Amino acid sequence: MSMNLFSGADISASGMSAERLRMEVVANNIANANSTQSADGGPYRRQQVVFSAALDDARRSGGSVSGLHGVNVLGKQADMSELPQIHNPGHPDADPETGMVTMPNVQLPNEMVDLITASRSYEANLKALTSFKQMIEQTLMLLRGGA
Amino acid sequence: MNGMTSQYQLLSNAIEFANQNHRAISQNLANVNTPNYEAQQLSFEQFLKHVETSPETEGDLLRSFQLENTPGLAYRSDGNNVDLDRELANLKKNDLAHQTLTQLLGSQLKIMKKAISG
Amino acid sequence: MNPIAASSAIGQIGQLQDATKIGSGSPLTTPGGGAGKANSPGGFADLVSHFVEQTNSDQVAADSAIQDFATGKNDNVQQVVLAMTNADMSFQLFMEIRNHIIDSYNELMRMQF
Repeated sequence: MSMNLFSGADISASGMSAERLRMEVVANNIANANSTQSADGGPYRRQQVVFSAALDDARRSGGSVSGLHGVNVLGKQADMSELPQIHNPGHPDADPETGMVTMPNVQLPNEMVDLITASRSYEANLKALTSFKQMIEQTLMLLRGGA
Repeated sequence: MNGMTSQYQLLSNAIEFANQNHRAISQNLANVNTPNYEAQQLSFEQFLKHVETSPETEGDLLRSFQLENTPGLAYRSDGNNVDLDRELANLKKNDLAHQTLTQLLGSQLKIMKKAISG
Repeated sequence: MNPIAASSAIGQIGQLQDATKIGSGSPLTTPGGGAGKANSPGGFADLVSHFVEQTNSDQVAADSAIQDFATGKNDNVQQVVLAMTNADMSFQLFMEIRNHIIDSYNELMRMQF
């Protein structure tokens, strides 16, 4: 049985899973920063996640401000920017004539910044979730006759 | 007459506001990295207006909680204007407000219980 | 709170209400002590019945808030808890007043003339 309770926590939960997914994608980018071969041939292409604000669900009503349902992860997409080329004749994937190797379009500083941003955002959403739990507990204390 | 002190209605409305405010802040935090997302906040002025004019009507309470775009924020390159630190500060403040209001309500209830049972 | 106790207490008050209606024109029940009035508008019986309605509607509101929460229709915990404390307090007040009314009534009946 899954009850539709505590939807206020769903907002923070969606933020947490979105940021966690983002961190996984960034970690994958970093791990493949030098992969000149990938599953679909050619060098690895940097991946990024696509978020969108979750729109109002007509089903949900009740006593809450409507239109707040967190964030949706629309999916992953490849970064289609140009792949850099490096002159490295000794590389096994080097072009035999020019000696250029096509490398993944992963820039480590950018990925690190993304990682830190995602990590901070994840923690912020976790804080919101913890706050929510505390608010519920405080409210329930009223019933016990204490405050 | 139902044994309630005069602040009971006001306190419960304020607690409800803190509850909805938490949702708005959570929404901003969840969408801190969503492109073209505008930070939202609950209008406290609307809520105060509701308190002054129609404190007893339950139905109007929710309508007084209007979401509005937070003014005065800078946009980043992805079109997002959520300020993470500002939202976290608001989260803490809202927490404190909710805790305070709930405890005030609790002590009011204790007083009423004492008054009733003598 | 126990719904059976609630409805029986409200029933007892109803009986008392009927009892006081018989003497609604007497000095004891009419505020201001006017004697001989057949239908006094601001009488004790009206006061009690208004109070009974108020308490009852608080109970009903709390019950429906609990129902909405349990069925997932409205997941707002604060609303449920506030409705319940409201009903709790008004019911407690109601019970105290009921006890006092019954005690006073018994005291009155014990008087010998």
